[in-house]
Amino acid sequence: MTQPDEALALRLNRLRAQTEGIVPSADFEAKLLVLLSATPANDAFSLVWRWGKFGVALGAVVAAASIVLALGQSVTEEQEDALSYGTVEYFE
Amino acid sequence: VASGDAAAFRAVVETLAVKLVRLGARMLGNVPDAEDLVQEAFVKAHAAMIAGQYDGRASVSTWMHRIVCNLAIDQLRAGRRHGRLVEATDDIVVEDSRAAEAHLALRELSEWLNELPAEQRVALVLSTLEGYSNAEIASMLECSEGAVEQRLVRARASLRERRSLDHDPT
Repeated sequence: MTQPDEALALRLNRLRAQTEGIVPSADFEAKLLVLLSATPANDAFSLVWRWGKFGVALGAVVAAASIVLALGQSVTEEQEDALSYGTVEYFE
Repeated sequence: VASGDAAAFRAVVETLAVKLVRLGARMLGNVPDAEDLVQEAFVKAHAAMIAGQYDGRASVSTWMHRIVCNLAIDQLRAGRRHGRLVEATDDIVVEDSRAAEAHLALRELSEWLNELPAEQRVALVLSTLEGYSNAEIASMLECSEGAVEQRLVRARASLRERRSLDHDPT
């Protein structure tokens, strides 16, 4: 370790030791817990919100699959119609 | 915690609050701002837990450190605290000589690291003052270990360059 590195390490170590005793104000934790307890974690709305997200995602997947199926069905029906009505034209 | 257990979250607060306030103070330079930061972090974490956004991939401690560090980086980048820094440390009421020494040390630390970019400052604090490994810091900051090492090298180089200009009582 070079001299500037040593000086840097020494200063950082000193500041670490001097700030080791830093603590929050006496009522910090109590105030925080009161603040957090004001927001209930498992009320009905939270549960609906939590599971509702899965419902929306599932709905999106089902909707996408339905569109793909419907498009596939539509193309098949058009081909069948074209054959049954004899719309294939021949040019002489 | 992931299942939304309020008692479990209370235990998290009791376990991590002091540690996170100390980390916040070392990053921002004073305790009042650190308390605001940690309070905001716990409120965000609590909301995320309620919304089912904590997936348990990282430990709760790492997750909380990540939130605190991200908030600190945002604040340091915005420079919102620079004007208030001296005022906050000057006005603080200290109860004993050890607390006075700690607050002076915070002030010295903040002034010394003030010129560093936020990411370098946070990485340096996590590494040299908090004692975390590069792998732990990478997990907290959601970056690679290489990126952490790069930030630390650059931070130390900047501090070495500035050393001759600074008042260094060591």
